[in-house]
Amino acid sequence: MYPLPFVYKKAQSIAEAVAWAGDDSRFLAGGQSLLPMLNLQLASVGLLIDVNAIAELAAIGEDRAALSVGALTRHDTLARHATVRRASPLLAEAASLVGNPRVRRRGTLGGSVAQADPAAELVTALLALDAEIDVVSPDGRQRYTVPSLMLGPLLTVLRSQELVVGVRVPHREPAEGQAFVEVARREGDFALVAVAARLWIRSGRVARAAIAVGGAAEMPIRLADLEAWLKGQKAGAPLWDAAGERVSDEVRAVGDPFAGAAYRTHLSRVLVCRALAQAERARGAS
Amino acid sequence: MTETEFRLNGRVVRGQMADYATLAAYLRDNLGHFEVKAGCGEGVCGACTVLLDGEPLASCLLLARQAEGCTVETVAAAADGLRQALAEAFVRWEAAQCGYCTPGMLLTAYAYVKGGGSFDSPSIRRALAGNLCRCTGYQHIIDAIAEVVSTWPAEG
Repeated sequence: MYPLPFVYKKAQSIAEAVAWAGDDSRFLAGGQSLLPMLNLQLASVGLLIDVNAIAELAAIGEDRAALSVGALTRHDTLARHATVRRASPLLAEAASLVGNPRVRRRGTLGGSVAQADPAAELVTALLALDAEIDVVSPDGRQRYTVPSLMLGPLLTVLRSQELVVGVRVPHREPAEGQAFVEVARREGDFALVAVAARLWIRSGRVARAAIAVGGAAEMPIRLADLEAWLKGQKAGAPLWDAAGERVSDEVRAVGDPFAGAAYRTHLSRVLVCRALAQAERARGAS
Repeated sequence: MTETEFRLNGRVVRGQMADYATLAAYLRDNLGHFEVKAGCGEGVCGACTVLLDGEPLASCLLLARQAEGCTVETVAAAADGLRQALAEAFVRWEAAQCGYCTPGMLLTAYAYVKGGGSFDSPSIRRALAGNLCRCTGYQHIIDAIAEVVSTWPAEG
């Protein structure tokens, strides 16, 4: 419970936070991943820059194209917010499955993105949603996608001066159904495997699909081949079953002490099938 | 070290706090509040739960300095009717075995009942998902909370 000593400073603005940042600093948002690492001395830091007081980081808004969610939005807020539930039900559902209630009250969307855990529900959701991630540094503003941001497990391209400030998520379209499903060992655990799916169906056929799998491999992956294969096919349970059978072609599952690679591959197959069926039912639902 | 002030169980606490001290460490080591249990240090077990401005949070994942200006309550806060009812129900149902998880369980239950939580077992289990009992006496804990929810007047 005792981190190695560091200096703590509370920033009042984005400009102040990034100006203070240096090679030996980290930003502190919800602290639900960073503080465990500091407590267990798996990480150390010279300067901790608290961004919790920066009100503009917690804003949720929307324009014609997209929903914009501030980096400091807590998981609990994301899960319950009426605008988020309407514009991006998949994102709200994913947020409701993160950690335990205390973690959801404190943990943030931006923190989850910057932490880049391979099994993080929110990163998997953002990958399926083709979300854009806005980052501010002393050099200005930059926009990333999940694939351009994430390099590997707990590893991103972000330098210590770069602060995630918000995420843009395209609105769910009328023909689009979304689903987020996972299997975890216990309520509140990281997912063994999580699947985020978006499905557009027109005249009974799949017009487009977006499927992301988290927890199975070293980082969340998009099943691009499966998405292409689904296109134009007749929607329905037989197709979702057939889609599940093809998942192992793309998911290179890795095992850990909690679940072996074969079991994670199996879960990926089952959950993709389940997510597609659920996304089909969710079309038009608000 | 920086001068920091917050309210703890109804009293003002003002002191020099190390930048890197967690709230859990400060409450135990500097103020002797050992009812805040030191558990996993990862926010998983719930033993160190405190109410920060009324919300249950892991005090091991909060720096003492982040409590500046806030209201912190431990299980030793002055008992109102609901706290008393929960404590009595825990005794009646024998919901404490070794007792280490009990302060966190009581505070989580307090916020759950106060927040209008329902008395059905799945909802209570979900609310308690972040509080581990290694004696695994969950059923009696859930029964105790369900009894209080079903008899406690809902807040307007």
